[in-house]
Amino acid sequence: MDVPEIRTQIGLYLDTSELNACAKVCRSWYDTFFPLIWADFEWQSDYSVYPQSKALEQNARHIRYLRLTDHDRPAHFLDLCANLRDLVLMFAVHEHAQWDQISQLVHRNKKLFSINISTGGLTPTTGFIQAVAQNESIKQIEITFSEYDRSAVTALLDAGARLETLSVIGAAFEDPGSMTRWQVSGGGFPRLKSLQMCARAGITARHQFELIQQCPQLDSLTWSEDSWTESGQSFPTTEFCQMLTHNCPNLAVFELQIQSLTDKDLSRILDSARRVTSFQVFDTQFGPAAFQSLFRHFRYVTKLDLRRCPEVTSAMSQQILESCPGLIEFFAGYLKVQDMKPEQEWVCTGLTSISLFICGLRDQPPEKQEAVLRQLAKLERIESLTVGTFDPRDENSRDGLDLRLSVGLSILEPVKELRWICFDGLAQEMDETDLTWMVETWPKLCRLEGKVHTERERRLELQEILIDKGVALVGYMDDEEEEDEDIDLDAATNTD
Amino acid sequence: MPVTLTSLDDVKFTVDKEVAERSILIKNMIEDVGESDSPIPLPNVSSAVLKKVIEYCEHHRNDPVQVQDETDDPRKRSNDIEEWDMKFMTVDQEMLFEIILAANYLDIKPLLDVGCKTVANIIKGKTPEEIRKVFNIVNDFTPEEEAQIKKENEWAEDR
Repeated sequence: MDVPEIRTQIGLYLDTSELNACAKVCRSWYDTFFPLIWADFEWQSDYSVYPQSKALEQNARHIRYLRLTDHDRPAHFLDLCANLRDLVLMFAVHEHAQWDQISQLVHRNKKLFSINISTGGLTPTTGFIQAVAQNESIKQIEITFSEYDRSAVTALLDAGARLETLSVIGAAFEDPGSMTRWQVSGGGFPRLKSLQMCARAGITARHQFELIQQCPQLDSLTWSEDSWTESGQSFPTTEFCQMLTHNCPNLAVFELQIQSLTDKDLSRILDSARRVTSFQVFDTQFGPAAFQSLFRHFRYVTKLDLRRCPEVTSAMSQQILESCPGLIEFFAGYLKVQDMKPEQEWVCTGLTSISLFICGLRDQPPEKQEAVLRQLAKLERIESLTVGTFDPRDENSRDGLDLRLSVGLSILEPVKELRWICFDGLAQEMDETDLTWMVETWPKLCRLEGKVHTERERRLELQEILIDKGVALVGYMDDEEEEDEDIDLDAATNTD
Repeated sequence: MPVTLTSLDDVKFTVDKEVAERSILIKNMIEDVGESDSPIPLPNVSSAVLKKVIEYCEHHRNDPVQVQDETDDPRKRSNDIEEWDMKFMTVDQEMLFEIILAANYLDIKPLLDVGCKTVANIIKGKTPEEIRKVFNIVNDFTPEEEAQIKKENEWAEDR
């Protein structure tokens, strides 16, 4: 039974301290698990215990996933890492010498697959960027909050031919507009499948668009607004739609955080995309025209985020729930009980995450709420359930679900995968039996968001039950009185 | 289209081709042999274990085929086992490991994953002594070696 190959496979599911326990079991287990302890290594300044430097040096070769959150002192072991697969750099750089050491690291690790650079302080040196560009095994690059000059951008474009994933978040580029060569050498990003373009400054919307057009294999695009506002341009809908049809036919996952997108724009995009599986367009003007265009994609769609889109109606939410069998994550504004149809069940029984203010329950007979709860109970895979309202006008709404056993809470017994439940903005009057029931019935429950009771004293009493069971209770601190409280709600979140 | 599988102890099991092909090993064997009625021998798998494996494949016959994901998080989750699978894996330890070995040999990745996650869940939260007890393992370290290892790995205790 004790086969090294199987032990390694089991090790994939164990964290460092568990691997540590396994390594102490016996000699053959030590041989398997000891290297795995080192496989996932983080160097962070606030750990109380560090490996001895001799151990570090001996075992640096086992490290596969290295996360550096602190690089204050030259760490010799870095020079001995040669088998890295993933590198995450999240430290403040104070000297060029640090970049030199990191460049050597990148250069030496010929099996490096992904690199995530979120550093502050000195900008990445040209040497570093070139090391990244020249390491042919790197397929995924994520850049956050760094600054890049023209030579850096050129080097990145050179790496373009190999990349499968590129994320640019909050990065700033030094005037690439003045670059004469913007085309990626060797014809585009032929392997790029996933692109996140959320640059902070310096790269015009036009240039971003030109980049996107060069990605024939693109299946996922995240594009955010900041750079649009800066350039003062409007979204190039016609060209984007042409791009969807001619250049990027595989694009199926869309996250477009662009407020200026009109209902018509979104409709045209949905018409031009061959098949949409994910559409996250919160804070846009998504409305009836876009909704019509979404119909064609109903059977493919797995993720929809239509929050804070003022034109999205309750009837639309209902129609989505009864028409999209593959839906796994659904976030929208609200669903009125009167729009729910008892004869038309939700087909999306595979939902794992839902955020929807289910309302219209104020002063209604209990059967109305029971019908809603029965519908929710059918979502046997649900992990995250948000039924509260984020509308600041609804601080203590009685129009939503009342989560008490006396009015049908036990109907939700089947949702055994539930981890998070959020009822923020709703007035609740739970008592000890309700909370105890929740904790005992939902074995994976780890987080509640919202006020369990309208009265502060009762809240304080009731949250003891949750703290006792290690369930975090998160309140949105809109109650001024709570700021005076000595109770540290964060304490609850640490008992995971 | 039925396929016949023969276990280590010469017991024959007839299953649908679709079910048998959840095992990549069997799938490849069928492709190599082509159209044939002769049973496929599985000399590494006893009938008791093969029965369980077939039960798993029958239940999951319509699952989409898993694609090797290079972007996997280095620390995979083990707390997402489906309820049916959890009940299926409630067997004695010896059978549990036999199933894992069979899944490895037959190349049925989802079953291998579920099996390994189950064992990982057994290991979680246990001290080395408790792990030895559960799996009937003898401690073959000398006390000096144990002290050395403890010191060496102190840093990994709380991570």
